Amino acid sequence: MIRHLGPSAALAAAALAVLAVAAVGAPLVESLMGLDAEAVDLFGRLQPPSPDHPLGTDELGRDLLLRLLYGGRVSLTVGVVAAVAASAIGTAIGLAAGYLGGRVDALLMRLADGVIALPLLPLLIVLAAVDLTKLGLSDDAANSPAVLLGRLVVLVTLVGWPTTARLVRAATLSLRRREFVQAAQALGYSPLRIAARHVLPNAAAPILVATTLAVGNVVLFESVLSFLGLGIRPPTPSWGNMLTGAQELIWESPQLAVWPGVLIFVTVVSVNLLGDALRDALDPRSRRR
Amino acid sequence: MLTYVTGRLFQALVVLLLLSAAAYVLLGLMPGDPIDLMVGADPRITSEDIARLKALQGLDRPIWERYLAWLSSALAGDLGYSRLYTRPVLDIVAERMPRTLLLIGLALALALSVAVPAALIAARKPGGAVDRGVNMLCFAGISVPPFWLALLLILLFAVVLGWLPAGGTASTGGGGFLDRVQHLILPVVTLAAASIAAYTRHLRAALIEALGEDYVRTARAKGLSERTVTTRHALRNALLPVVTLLGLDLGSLVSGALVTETMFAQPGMGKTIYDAVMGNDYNLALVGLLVAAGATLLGSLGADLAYARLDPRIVYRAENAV
Repeated sequence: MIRHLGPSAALAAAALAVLAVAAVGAPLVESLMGLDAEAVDLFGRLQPPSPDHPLGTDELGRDLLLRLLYGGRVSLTVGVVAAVAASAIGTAIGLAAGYLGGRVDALLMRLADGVIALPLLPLLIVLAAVDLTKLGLSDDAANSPAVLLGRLVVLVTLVGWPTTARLVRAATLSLRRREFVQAAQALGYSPLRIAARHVLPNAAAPILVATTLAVGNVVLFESVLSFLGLGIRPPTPSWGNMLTGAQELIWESPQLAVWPGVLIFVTVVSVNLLGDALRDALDPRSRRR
Repeated sequence: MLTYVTGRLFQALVVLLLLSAAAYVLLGLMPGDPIDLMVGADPRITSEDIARLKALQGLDRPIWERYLAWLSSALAGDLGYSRLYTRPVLDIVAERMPRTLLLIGLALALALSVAVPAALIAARKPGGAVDRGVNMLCFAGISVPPFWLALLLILLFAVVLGWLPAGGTASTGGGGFLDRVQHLILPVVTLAAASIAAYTRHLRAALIEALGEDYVRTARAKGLSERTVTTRHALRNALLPVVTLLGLDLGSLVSGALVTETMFAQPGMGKTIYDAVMGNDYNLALVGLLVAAGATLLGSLGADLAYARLDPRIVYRAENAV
């Protein structure tokens, strides 16, 4: 199927596959290199690339390549999980708005417009700075990597749903006037059943496109929040937080500022190219003239 | 028309009110309230002192009561004091706002002056080599993390080439006009990159559509030059949707300003909000957030109104507003 999408989409899919395999295989690479990704070596700080450390070492003497691979696990997981979550919420909202119409539609779409129009980053950093211990979580739980990861997913989901909601709403609006939906209505099925069984499957194409494009946005949001110190926190590596210290060290160790960004960039470009190609393939009307 | 505008303004007010309530509660959940910080600073403080201080600052009252108190004094023009800068919040906002407006204004101007020619040459031959090149650049522009672009620009122009400063507003000791302009270049380019890509893509699509319209065929049939046809007939119509895009894009420009100002040490609202959140400066963070949201909402209303002025087919009525 990928082959039908054209050469750039195939390349994008290949790049994503390589990144995913590399992230999954991080422990294998680690044992092959005979290194420990978390081992701090203060005498080997900020080393240039060498046979032992193909990309050099970071400010604590950790191997950059291994950190990148482990960071990829975090960044890609957040990207996919949050994009799927945002799409699921967006789909439900889009279906409700498109199928029920009227006031519900107006209200939900106002909400979506509002989320899109507001400056999201200032909002997200306020949300990300919330102290979870004040919500009744224990100190340990609030600062555990799993909770921080979960919070980041929730935050990015909160701002990621409107795109899917709009696309699904548009698809639902045209689907609900079709004969098979009218037939289902005539049979007296409940709106929920019609929406879930008859409209949803026919809206699969825009949902797939929206989810793919959402992955790119989510990876960008994750990286910027982690970069600002409000997402994934060290020592857990993510591509975003690996760049946090890079600005101060840019004169001594420029490679620290380059590689994590390259991986974010390649991921987002690939996902966007793939999403665009999928849209063109699935919706003949949007095909490039 | 007038009722439409009042409707939209009313709506913006409701959004701001909801946002202020939500943000007030959320900021109360940020680590360390003012008393915690005092306790940390002074080990001799007793629990009676803490209770007294909390009562003094009203922190023992329920959150909604505190919010209403904040709201009524805010509406009376008293936005409170900033903890980080120990100055009235309003002064800080008034002082920092111009920098952000300057950055966003210049970024918008740059984005439009690059996007229009880029879209024009791309649309000349859709699917051609130039078009595909422009398209790839656009993909790069919308996919690049702004903070990484900033790092790369610093690396290239400040570290390797040494042409431009890596941050700040002027060299130590003031610096002339040229020096100040040099300090603006990297932040503005960083901020504009994503917008350039977005506008070019939309404008290109709109241009290609417009070039297929009947009026363009008529213009060509009249024997007008291709240049006149594209710029006077197609471009003018294709620019319309971009006006709406400008309004929608303001939110991301404000978000971008936060990153850009923080990275290039620009004393604007974005950096102020970030520093306030990181430094537990509730009053400043809250007001900064509301100013950013309010400005964005006003900006998109402005873009919608401009759209209506430019396109006589668009009529806004009151029922569209709510």
